[in-house]
Amino acid sequence: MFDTYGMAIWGGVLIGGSASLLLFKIGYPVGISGYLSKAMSAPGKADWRWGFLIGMLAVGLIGGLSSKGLLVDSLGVEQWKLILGAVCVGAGARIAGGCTSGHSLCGMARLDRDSIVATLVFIAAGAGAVLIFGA
Amino acid sequence: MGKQIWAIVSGALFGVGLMLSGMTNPEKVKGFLNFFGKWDPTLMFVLGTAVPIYFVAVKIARLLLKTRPKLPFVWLEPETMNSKFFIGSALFGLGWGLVGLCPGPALVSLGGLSGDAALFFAIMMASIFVADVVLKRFE
Repeated sequence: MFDTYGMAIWGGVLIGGSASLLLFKIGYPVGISGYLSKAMSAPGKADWRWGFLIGMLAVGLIGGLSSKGLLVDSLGVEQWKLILGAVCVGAGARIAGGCTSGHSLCGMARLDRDSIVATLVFIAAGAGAVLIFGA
Repeated sequence: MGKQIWAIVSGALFGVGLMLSGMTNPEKVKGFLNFFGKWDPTLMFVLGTAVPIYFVAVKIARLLLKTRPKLPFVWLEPETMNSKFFIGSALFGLGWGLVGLCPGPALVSLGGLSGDAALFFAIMMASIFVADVVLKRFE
């Protein structure tokens, strides 16, 4: 069960498969930061995006209640890092026009140059943060 | 209504995928980004599996469009790669490396009912909201 490489691959199958399901059933790519933005700025027009977000939250609640340790009890970072990180992730995703789901999954799979570049910058900057502030 | 059900199912499977794969575990994420220390390649297998699957889905969708051009597939316009785009991407990466959570896993992690996951999500949402307001002003 906790062969982590196997879990990573099965997780990847679910992520790629569910994104494909959304593409064929709704016609749209996955883009969580965009959905969250729309849910706040135009909640009446967010339509099926609400369903996708609610589905994610629902399984999160089940994962949190299960005793298999699917979710961590604590993020394990100092509060200033948590606050600064949340500000950067939120604003950064909007300014970059997408986050890990929109750019690194769907955009890269479409071979969009901007998404490939965005992903390289995400990873480079993330590696920089880990180098400076620790893993 | 049918659309809403498919959206819920897709979101649920996507969320399970994030939890199983380790994307909701900040330690795993930071381990993957720790190229100059003890690098943990696990999360490479997540994108390494998910991207090829979605790549095939996109190919099939584009093939279908050739015979049925009216199918409602939405392809988003690529972003212009200007300085704004690079600043946003760098900010996002910094935050991702600082905490080890990106927006999808942050949403799923709310289910753990921990105070710091809730705080991260709330601040991320406020930041998305403010960024949208500011970006609109500069449009």
